[in-house]
Formats: sequence, C-alpha cells, structure tokens
Amino acid sequence: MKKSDRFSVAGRLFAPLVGKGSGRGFMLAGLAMVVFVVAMSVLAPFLGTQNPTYLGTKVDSPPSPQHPLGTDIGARDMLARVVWGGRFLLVVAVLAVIFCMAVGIPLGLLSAYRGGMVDRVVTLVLDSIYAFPSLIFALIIVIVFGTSVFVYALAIAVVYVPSYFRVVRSQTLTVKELPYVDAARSSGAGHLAIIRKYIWPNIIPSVVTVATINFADAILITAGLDFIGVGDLTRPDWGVDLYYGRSTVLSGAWWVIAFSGLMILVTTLGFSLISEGYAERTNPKLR
Amino acid sequence: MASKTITTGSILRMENLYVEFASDRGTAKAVQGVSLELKKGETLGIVGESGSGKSTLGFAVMGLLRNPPARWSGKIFFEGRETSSLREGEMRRIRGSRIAMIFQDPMTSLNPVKKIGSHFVEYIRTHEPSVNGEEAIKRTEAIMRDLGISPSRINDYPHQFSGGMRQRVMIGLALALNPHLIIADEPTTALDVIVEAQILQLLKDLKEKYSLSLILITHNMGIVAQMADRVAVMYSGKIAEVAPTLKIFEEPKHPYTQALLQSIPTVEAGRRVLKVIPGSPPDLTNPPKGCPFHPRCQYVFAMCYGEEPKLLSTGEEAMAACHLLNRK
Amino acid sequence: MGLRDYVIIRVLLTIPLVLILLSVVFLLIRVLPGNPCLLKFEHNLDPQDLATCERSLGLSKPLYVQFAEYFVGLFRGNLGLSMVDFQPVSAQIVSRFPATIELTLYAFLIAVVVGIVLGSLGATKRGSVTDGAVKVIGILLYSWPVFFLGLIFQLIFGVYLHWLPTSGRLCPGCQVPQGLTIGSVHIQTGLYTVDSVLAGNLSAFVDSVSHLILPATALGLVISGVFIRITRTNMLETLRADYVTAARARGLKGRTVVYGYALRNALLPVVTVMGLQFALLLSGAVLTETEFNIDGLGRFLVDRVNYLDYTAIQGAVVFIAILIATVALLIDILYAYLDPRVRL
Repeated sequence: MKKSDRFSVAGRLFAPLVGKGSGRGFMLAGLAMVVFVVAMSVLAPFLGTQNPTYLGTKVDSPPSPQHPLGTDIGARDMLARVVWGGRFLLVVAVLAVIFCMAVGIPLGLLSAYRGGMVDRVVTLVLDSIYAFPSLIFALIIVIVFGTSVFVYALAIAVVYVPSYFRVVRSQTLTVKELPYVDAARSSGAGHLAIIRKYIWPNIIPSVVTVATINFADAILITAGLDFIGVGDLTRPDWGVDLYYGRSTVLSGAWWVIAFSGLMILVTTLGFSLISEGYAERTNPKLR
Repeated sequence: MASKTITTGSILRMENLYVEFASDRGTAKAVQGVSLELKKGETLGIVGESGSGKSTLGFAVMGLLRNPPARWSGKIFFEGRETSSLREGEMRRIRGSRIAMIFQDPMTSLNPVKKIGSHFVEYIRTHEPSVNGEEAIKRTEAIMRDLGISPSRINDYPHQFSGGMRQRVMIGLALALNPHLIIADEPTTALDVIVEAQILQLLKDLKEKYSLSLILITHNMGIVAQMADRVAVMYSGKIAEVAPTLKIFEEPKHPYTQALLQSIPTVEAGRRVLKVIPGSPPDLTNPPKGCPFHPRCQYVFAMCYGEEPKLLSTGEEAMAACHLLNRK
Repeated sequence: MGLRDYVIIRVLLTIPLVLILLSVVFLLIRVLPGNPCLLKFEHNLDPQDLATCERSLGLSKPLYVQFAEYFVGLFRGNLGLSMVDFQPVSAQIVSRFPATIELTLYAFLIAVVVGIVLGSLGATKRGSVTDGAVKVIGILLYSWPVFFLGLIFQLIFGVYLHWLPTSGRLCPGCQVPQGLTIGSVHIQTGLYTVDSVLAGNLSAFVDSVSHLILPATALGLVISGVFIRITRTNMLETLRADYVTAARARGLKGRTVVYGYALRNALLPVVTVMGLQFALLLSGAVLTETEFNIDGLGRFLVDRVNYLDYTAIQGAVVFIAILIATVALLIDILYAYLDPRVRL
C-alpha cells in the first residue's frame, strides 16, 4: 500500500479517539478498565499473591488481614483467585476473536463479492447459526470436544463468525455498487485492488465495533459455561468461582461471589464501552 | 402570471429575523436580519440556493424552530398578532389551522405506517375536537375528490401512491382546515416536470378558489415566474433583492439575481454557453465579511469587501442590497 | 401482496433453515466425536454396557440410515430415549417447557417495558444528562453477567432482606395449581401464574409470582439493555424524520407526534431484533434456571450435560432449534402486519 493508504487505514482506527462527544469518554473509560484487567492478568505471576489453588483450612471465611477478600469453599484465597481468574477468559477471548476475524471477514468479503447462488447458500447457513442461542451452541461444542482453551475459543468463534460475516457482507455489497467503484472497475482495476482500496477501508469501523463486542461476549459465554459447571473446575477462573459460590452465598458469604463477579462485569463492561464509544464516533447518527 | 386578488393589508410581517443553529462545526447563521411582508392574497416567491436560509424562514413563521438547536430573535406578525411571542400551546393552535405548510418530499413527509385517511382524520380532530369520526371521514373524502384522488383510496398507505398523488395528498392536508396562509417549501422539487406542471396549476386554482395567501419557497426561477406576484431573492441568510416578478425578470438589480437568471437554460437562446456562477455557496458558520456575495461577484469592488450593503429602494415595492446602487 | 401470501412464503422459507439446524445438530452429536456411547462410558468401559448402548442408539447402522431414522423420528415427535433413565425425551421436554415459557415471558415483558421507556426517554432528551445516564445504564445492563445479577438478587432480597424466595417455582411442599376444568375440558397450561388464576387460587398465585420476581427481573433487566440501546437509536432517527416535522407543522400535539409518529415507527426495527433477543433469552434462561433451581428446559439441558446423556441433549437442542425457527417466523409475520411496506 502507498503510504497515504496506510495512513488512512490507521486513521480510521484511531481518529475516533480525538474530538468531542461522549463517545470519547466511553472509549477511554472502557480502555482503562480493559487495560487494568489485562495488566493484572499478565502480571499475576509477579504480584506475589497466595496460591489460588491451594486448599487451606479456613473455609468460607470473611475478609481478614490474611485473606483481604476472604476465602471460598475450598479455603482458597479470594484475592489470589481474583488476580489469577481472568487469564483463561482473556486468552479464550483473544483466540476467539482471531479465529473469527480470520474466517468471518474473508468469508463475508468473498461471498458478497461473488454473489449469486454461493452467496445465498452461505448466507442461509450462517443466518441459521446466528439465530441460534450462542451459549447453548457453545455448550454443545464444548461438551463434545472437551474443555481446552482452543475448544472454547473455537466454540465462541463458530458462534460469532456470522456476526462478522453479516457486517462485512452488507458493507461490501453497498460499496460494490457505488459509482466510483464501478468507474474503477471499468478502467481495468483488478478485483484485489478494488477490495484493498475501496472495500477494506470501509469495513474497518464495523469490524472493530463487532470485534470489541466479540471480546465482551466471549468473556460472558466462557464464564457462563464455567458457571454451569462445564469447564475445568480446578482452574482459577472467575466463572468457576461463581459456580462454587452458588451454594455458599445463600448462607451470607457474599465475598465468594462479589469480587469475581465484579471482575467479569468490569472486563465485559470495558469492552462494551469501547465498542459503544467507537460506534458513536464513527456513526454520527448515534449521538 | 399573477392573480388579481391581492387586497391591501398584510397578512404576515417579519421584522429583523435572526436565526442561528448550533452545530458541531460552530454556529451556523441561517437567517441574518430579514424583514419581509406578505399581503393578503399575494403569492410571494422566495428564491435562493440550498443553505440560503429560505426554508428556515418558513419554519420560523410556523414556529417550528426549537431551542435547542436553533436560537432566534426578531418579531413575526400574523394577521396582526405577534406570533413570535406566543407560547407553544397557543402557537400550536394556529399552526396547521391558520397557517399550513407543504413539504418538499412527499414520500418522506407522510407517516409510512398510517393510512392516508387516518392522517386527515387525526388532523381534523386535533384542531376541531367536536367533530366525530364519521364527519371527519366525510370531510376527508370531499377533500380527496377536490384534489382528484379517488375517495375509495382512503384506506391506502402512502407507499401505494405515486409521487404526484402523494404531493396532492400533502396539498390536501394543507388545505383541510381552510388556512389563510400556505407556505410551500420546494413543493415540486421531488417531482418530474409533467407532474410539476400539474401540481403548480392545482396550487394556482386552489389559491383562487379559497382566496389564500401563498409563500412559495424554491430555487427554481421558472416556477417563480409562473406563480409569484413578488419575488424575494435570498443569499447567505440575507435578502439580496425584493421586487414584483415582472421587474425582477426584466430589470434585476442585484448581481446574484442577474446571475441566477442567466443560468436558466432557455429554448429560445439557442446554443449559447450556459453561464455558471463561479465559486461555491458560503459557509454559514463563517460567512464572508462585507457583502456575502463578493467572492463570486463579477462586479466586485473595494467597498464590497468591508461594508455590508443595506437594502435600498430601486423602485415601487422594490429593493436591493448592493453597493453598485450607490455608485451611480 | 396481502398478509396471507406473505405468511405462506415465509413459512416455506423457514423449512430449509430448520433442516440445516437439525442436520448440524445431528452431525455434531453423532458423527464428529465418533461415538456418544464411547464418550459416555469413557472411564468405565464395560463392553456389555457399550454394546447395549450402541444397539439402543442404532449406532451400528450405516450413517445415512441413522440420518434418515433421525428425521423420521423427528416428524413423529420422537426424540429418542434418554441414555440415563430410558424415558422418552420428548415427554420430559414437554413437561418442563412451560416453566421456561413462564420465565422467559415475564423476563421479556420486563425487558421490553424497561427498554422502551428508558430508550424513548434518552432519545427525547438527547444530549442531556438524562440521555447520558440512559446510555450508560443500557451498556451496563447488557454487559452484566446475568448469573451474577441473579446471585446479587438472591443475596440481597433473599438472604439479607428475606423478602423473596430464591429457589424453585413454589414453596416447598406446596401443591401445583390445577388450572380449570369445564365439563370434560381441562385447561392447565403449566404456567403456574396462569393456572392459579384459572383455578381461583390466590395464595398459589402470590406464591408463584413471588418465586418468579427475582429470576425474571434479573433476566429481564439484562436483556433490556439491548432494547434500551435500539429504541434510543431508532427514535433519534425517527424524531428527525420529515413526517415528524410535517406532523408538527399540522399542529398535532407534541405527545401525539412523539409517541404516535416517532416512537411507533422507531419500534418497527425493534420487532425484527426481537427474534435475536429470544435466542438471548433462551441462553439466559439456561443460566437463570440453573441458578434459581427452576425445573425448566434450560436446567434440563444442564443436568443432562452433566450426565453426558447425549440423546436427551440432542433432543433438547432439536427442540430449541425448532422453537427458534418458529419464533423467528412469527416475528416476521408480526412485522409484516405492523409495517405495510414489507408486504409489497
């Protein structure tokens, strides 16, 4: 790409960060939350917490000097579990988004570009997946294929590819028909060139919006599956904490769920805020 | 050409109207110090490019400018009453019943999920609550007949009508409560030429029949030639020239008016080159200093850059704002 | 085309959708892992058990025969036998389905009411502090893990305040409302709130409602987040529409214009989204039923997952697939009824 093309692509990604409007506030707040969670998760081994999987003796004890956030049903330190609990969720989310984009974007582009019967069939199949409840679909995949990181990521990816597909496809269809693209085509521009110069820059805002929501949903689905008890229960994981906490919370032990649940909320909220803020900045109709 | 039913006494008077809109890029000065008068039974044409402020004038008269985003000052008198100072509740009673508006795009001006008849019935019963459903329907059917629309279509939806029919519906709505003043904002811009001619004729006929006063807002000098008694030319939120129609066409005094007339293609003129006004319309958030037209004017001279020209009389009932007038 | 023709065409189009979903389910469960029986008996492989299991599921037959039998069975409403208790899966699903309907119905109502009220509030007060608050609340709600909200509710209203029950649909030991019997016709919906009213049993009504409040509100609030956002976005557009300005120009009352013109038209696209929201509701129901111990389809699915009862799981998923397709169809028809332009 020429230097100016590269700039315009990067420009579309970062321009929304400058300027007025509440969108910017949302984006920054969301970014702060996400950075906090990611930093905490990445730096977990260096933060000197207790061992989150160590089964101690003080079961379900409230916050105290030794255990600032209390302990859970297995007498594990809640603070440690909070610090370590996000790692799996984040890794799954990142992998899921990568899989999704790798499949969904090209699929949407090509399907819309070629059109015809192929397009119709692919759209029909993906619409069927889109219509189905994501948690349940992911549940099926996980119980069939196992509970490793990749399976989780794959499950979420399968569920989410239709979202990327739709958005990329609709944008491609619109841009494809625009007069200046027609003009380029009739002056001999090849397909790849057209996609690169005209279609690609236009789909970036929508893709970013979907990707950020993808992160948020990936966290929610993974934590949700853990909550049901499907995941690997020995893992330090916020969703697993809520699974264990379910039984004890009814005796008043609020700390076993409050902090882990809060962390899931903060992470998801962070991504959602970024998504909303970004969407608002790139679509003036929403302000 | 003009009708013969103009009586003395003004039905509408605008004094020193200023309208500003707050926008992302700054404050857009849509209308800057406009004073206009409309006599009973007269058709006044307001001509200008997009962004000249002409539509805003129409909304101001209707009391439809909401604050925010619009800020406005000045006075508007309708049938002797100062409407600019009325509260919303009182203005609402006048709006639609004494003054009615016809909009540009009939496709988007009608509620897509509401039957045509229902538009009328709701409208009639809002202003005349004592009218019952049956009577309202009868009145609606009568109006439809008047406009050349079959009353059996009363339960059809807007999208089932053609563009011309929809505009007839809009006109019907405007006349339903026998208003005294009609403001038509680009009523034929969205229609093709043949339908346009029909609609304009319809407007003329109805105006005669019901003794209406009409403000016709358009960018098309041709329409104004057919329909208007007097013409006001607007540029950058200000009035450039006002004069009776004949005078404006025969002796335009403002360079902008002249340029507008020269850019109309005519059959008689043969194959002459079409004159285009150079430059582009002014940015309303940052209008040019001095005379707003000076960047595009072929007669521009020193005074035009610094000082705003005032409206000076150029004859009976005619005024223009141009420094050239002083130069004689 | 009239409404009737549209309905017919729409029904015909639904069939491929359902067929695809059902095929995918079949493939996932039967084909890909290789053998549901093997997976179930992974840890204690007794060849006898394995053989019995395989025979009962017909796994020895060639694939296309299995596929055919699967579909034939579906048409007859036969979803197979559970691998755990050997009872017909379809009967088990049907007996639990009303609980899910009840929960999702009330959650949906709460979601729609909250969504429209707040969404229109934000749109009419655009740019103000109220609008900002509405936006934030909307995002906060749809980001909130529904199981976390449920736990919070249980803690606050159940454990600390003792106001509401946190588990089940009725008090322990209470009788299930019997509905109404007129002559030889017995009406019992399985929705306890409805059945108790039919039976004239006030205490059962209060009991079932009190058990529903926490789960339905938790689920409803989370779903409302999306509704808030869409209502607000759509209404921002419609408020700026020409027909709204034209309506105002006719001197119609402000309230009429905002609700009759702007909101009414803004809600149309919301209806199309409702189909997706139903899917979200079902996902949420799975979590909520598990949490609040409600014996519905969602919890059935989770229980069977824990037992690795593949037939039951497959049956439940098939049921959900058909349910989704039906709801999508109904919503499309509803939309065509509401928006005359679509029927064309």
